[in-house]
Amino acid sequence: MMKRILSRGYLLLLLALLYAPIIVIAVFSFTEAKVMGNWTGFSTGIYEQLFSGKSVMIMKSVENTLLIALIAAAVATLLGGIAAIGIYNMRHRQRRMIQFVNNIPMLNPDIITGVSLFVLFVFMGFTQGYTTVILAHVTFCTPYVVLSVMPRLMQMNPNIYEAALDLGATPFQALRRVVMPEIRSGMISGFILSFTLSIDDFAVTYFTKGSIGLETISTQIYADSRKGGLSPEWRALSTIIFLAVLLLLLVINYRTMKHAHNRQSAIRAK
Amino acid sequence: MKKNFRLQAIAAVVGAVCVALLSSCGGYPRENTLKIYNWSDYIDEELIAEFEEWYQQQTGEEVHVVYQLFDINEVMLSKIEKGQEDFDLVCPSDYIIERMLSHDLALPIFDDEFRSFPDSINYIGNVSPYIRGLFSKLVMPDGKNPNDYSVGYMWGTTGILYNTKHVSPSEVDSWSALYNPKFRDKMFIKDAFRDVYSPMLIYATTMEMRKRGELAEDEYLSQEQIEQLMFDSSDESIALVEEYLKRLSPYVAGWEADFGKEMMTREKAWINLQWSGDAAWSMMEAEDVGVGLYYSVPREGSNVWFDGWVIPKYAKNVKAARYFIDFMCRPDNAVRNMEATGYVSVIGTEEVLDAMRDDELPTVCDLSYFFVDDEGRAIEGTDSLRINEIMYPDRSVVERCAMMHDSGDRTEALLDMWSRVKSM
Repeated sequence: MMKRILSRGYLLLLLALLYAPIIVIAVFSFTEAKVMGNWTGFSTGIYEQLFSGKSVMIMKSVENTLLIALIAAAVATLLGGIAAIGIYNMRHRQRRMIQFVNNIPMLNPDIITGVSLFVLFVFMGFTQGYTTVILAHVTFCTPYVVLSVMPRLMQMNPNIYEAALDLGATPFQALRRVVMPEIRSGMISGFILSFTLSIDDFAVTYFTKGSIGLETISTQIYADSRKGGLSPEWRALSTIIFLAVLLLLLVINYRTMKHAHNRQSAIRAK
Repeated sequence: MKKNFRLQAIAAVVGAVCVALLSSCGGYPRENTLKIYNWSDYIDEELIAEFEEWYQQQTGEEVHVVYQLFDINEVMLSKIEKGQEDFDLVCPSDYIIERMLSHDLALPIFDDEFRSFPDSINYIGNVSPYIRGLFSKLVMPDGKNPNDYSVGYMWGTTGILYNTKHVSPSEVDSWSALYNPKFRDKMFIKDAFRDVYSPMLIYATTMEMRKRGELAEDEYLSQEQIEQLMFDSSDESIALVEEYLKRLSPYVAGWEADFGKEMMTREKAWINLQWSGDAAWSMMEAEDVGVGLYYSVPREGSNVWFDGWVIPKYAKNVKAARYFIDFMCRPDNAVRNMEATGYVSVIGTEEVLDAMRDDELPTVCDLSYFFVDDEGRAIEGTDSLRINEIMYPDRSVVERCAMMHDSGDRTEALLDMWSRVKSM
């Protein structure tokens, strides 16, 4: 009994510590005080200001972040998925070596990645802007996609592909209709992981964004916070992003549960 | 095997070339782009789109504004000086403007070919003569006129922001307020070596001269003496300031870069070495939560600071840059920028006066040095004006303030002194 209370209590404490900052920001997004922590009465003024068209730079940075994240995640998923299939088909020693090389960008600190990409782009004469940022994001996202897809490939029955070929499929058809469905869940989780990593990234974006006025959410927050305190619109934006992610997770969980429930009822019905 | 590898290598090179081409295509041709480099939160953002329309009306040409942010003057300067970035317009602080002018990094805004805008849209004349006077004191080689190379944007003073409940105005009338044991650990000092060095030098010099009998106890340095001190970063002066700062260090609760305002509004600190723009902001914020703050420029003297527009050397669209500066000097835009940022514009016309005066204020100030009419004469009634005196200081305040100059190659000695003081 005591053990149960303690373990539950510990869990609650952890959850409280994890969510307290977000909840505090959400609560203080409903007041118009500029200084965080002052409460000057309930008001949705900040939300109005965010959407009124006055916060031009903040909304542009949100747009940029989402655009870059979508494109980078899509490219990384494609690249990573195909790479994983290739790695899977290598001989043992080659596979081990490529997996080792794949791990390096993941372990490399962000700043090192950012600075070295910056030097590379300058050396090759690329003007820095959207293209360089997307390339940089693809660079650090792809290894994670490979890592997500490989386990699914390992779990797959290795003979399925050959069986498909024997039954008359072309290699491309076999890839598309037999292998892809098996690894689809790995690619989806790789896509979501890349999307999150891209939105979250600061150091790499900071060094590769150049000087065309391109800002993402993280670099815009950095610029804003340097000149005397974070403007209150960020509290509203953080709350909105948090709610959006929460909603997404609820939907995914609901669908997974429903899926499992249907499967169970189907089995019982037999 | 070898043939395959060669094909692969060729494919990789072709891919790289494609990417290079792709990344350089930007959408807008460079002649129709205006690249501005400015601090964050330092403009009313809606004005950027409005400028594009105004430019089209005035010249018939299209322009697309690219607005890039920077956070440190020195980073901005090195991007232009070493990186040779082609920004068309940049907004540095006073001492950096001086450095750019002396390192030949600025293009003339006005020269023999382009003297001024046509009268109907010439707003640059709206800049207050007081500010133009400050600019003319910038050191420039070859006898060139600094007012031809830069136009002011925002300005202010440096002083003490204090909590009115715990601190009385007479206590912050002098920089010795910083050494008052009553405020021990309730004081935040800006972590900005230049903004602390200059006032401290003025205070230390005043104190030392009094000790040596060169100044009477109630006498203060004259404005010329203060202006001379602003050039002074000699070893003796640095050592003097270091001594005074080391005595100050035990009283300081923290060296802050931006959280001083918050500390003051939450009453965690009672005095804060602060700039006038941030002080006015903090006062308003604190009022909302029932905390009373006010600002004082000590009697010994202090700094006046400003930011101004400069066209850097590698600019490619000088025409649009000039028009943008002009647009910023239009009185209604100046007022909008003031409202959006909380700082004080250099524009001293009647429209700005009418927008900013507040006849319900108790304090009366002499602002005849700042607000002038079209003929350059002080506007009627500005010698006894009711206006926010933190934003628009009385004549007696600006007469004891001077502008900091670029310390040039003495900067390293100053930085060394600063890191020694902070590490105590």
